[in-house]
Amino acid sequence: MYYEIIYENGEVSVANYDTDEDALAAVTEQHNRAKAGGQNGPQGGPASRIVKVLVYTSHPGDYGTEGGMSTDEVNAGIKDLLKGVDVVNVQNLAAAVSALNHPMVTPESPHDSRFKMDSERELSASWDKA
Amino acid sequence: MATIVFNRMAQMITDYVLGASGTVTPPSAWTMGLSTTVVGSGANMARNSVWSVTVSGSNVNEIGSTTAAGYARQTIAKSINTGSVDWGTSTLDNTFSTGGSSTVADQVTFGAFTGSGPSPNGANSWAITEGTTLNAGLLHVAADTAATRTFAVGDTEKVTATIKAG
Repeated sequence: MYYEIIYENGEVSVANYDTDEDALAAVTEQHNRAKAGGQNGPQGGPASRIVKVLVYTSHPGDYGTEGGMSTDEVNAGIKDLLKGVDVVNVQNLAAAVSALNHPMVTPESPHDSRFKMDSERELSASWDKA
Repeated sequence: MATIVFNRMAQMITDYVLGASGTVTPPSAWTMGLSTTVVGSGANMARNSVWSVTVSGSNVNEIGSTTAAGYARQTIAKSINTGSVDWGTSTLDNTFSTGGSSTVADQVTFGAFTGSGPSPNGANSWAITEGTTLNAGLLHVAADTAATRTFAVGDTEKVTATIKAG
């Protein structure tokens, strides 16, 4: 399973664990280090508190990269891109079409997911027990 | 810190930018991976290196390919300053011999790791690549980490990529 870890400062990482228990052990340790003023790892630098962990069955970066998109989705996307446009800049259109299957999104808030793929669930067990 | 530009990135200029190739094309998003392989100065990574689980020749070996223990590739959006994890506005270094345009990606974070850490463990370099399958996908650029990073439970690793084209 893949886990999108969202940190308090708005940073994210995607991690691959076998079980929720493994995920919980990892985020609990990082979170507790942050609360204790500890370091993030061998690199040094402050550890970060964790606010949310989203669970995916596949890497959320894989959205749209395997097998392309359906014709209907592409047609709908192009129709949307051309709405209200009389003269088309073909190079800009090509770039916009290319972005239709982009896996990432701009989050509305710092603690929102960075990915288009819908998460399966949120890790419910608490890592902030103290 | 040693760095390398792999052939696929060079082909992006010769084939895609100049020739509008339909086969040499950029991915829908970039990914970053960590490798046990050092960039070196010719005896380790090479312009035609490939990701591989086999430790041999100029192969690039990814950490966590046997046991992920929290390791996964991180995604960098193919966009500029959108608020997602992507690239910054490029700046020009006008120096004749060593200049060029450079861009800085938003920082990406690996981990947190779990258990006794990934296997293989010990990151000596990071690479910009494609896809999320470990030891697979096309390599574009790589750079050494400041030191070997050996990860244990709770550890994270932050990487900020700067790409300079000149």
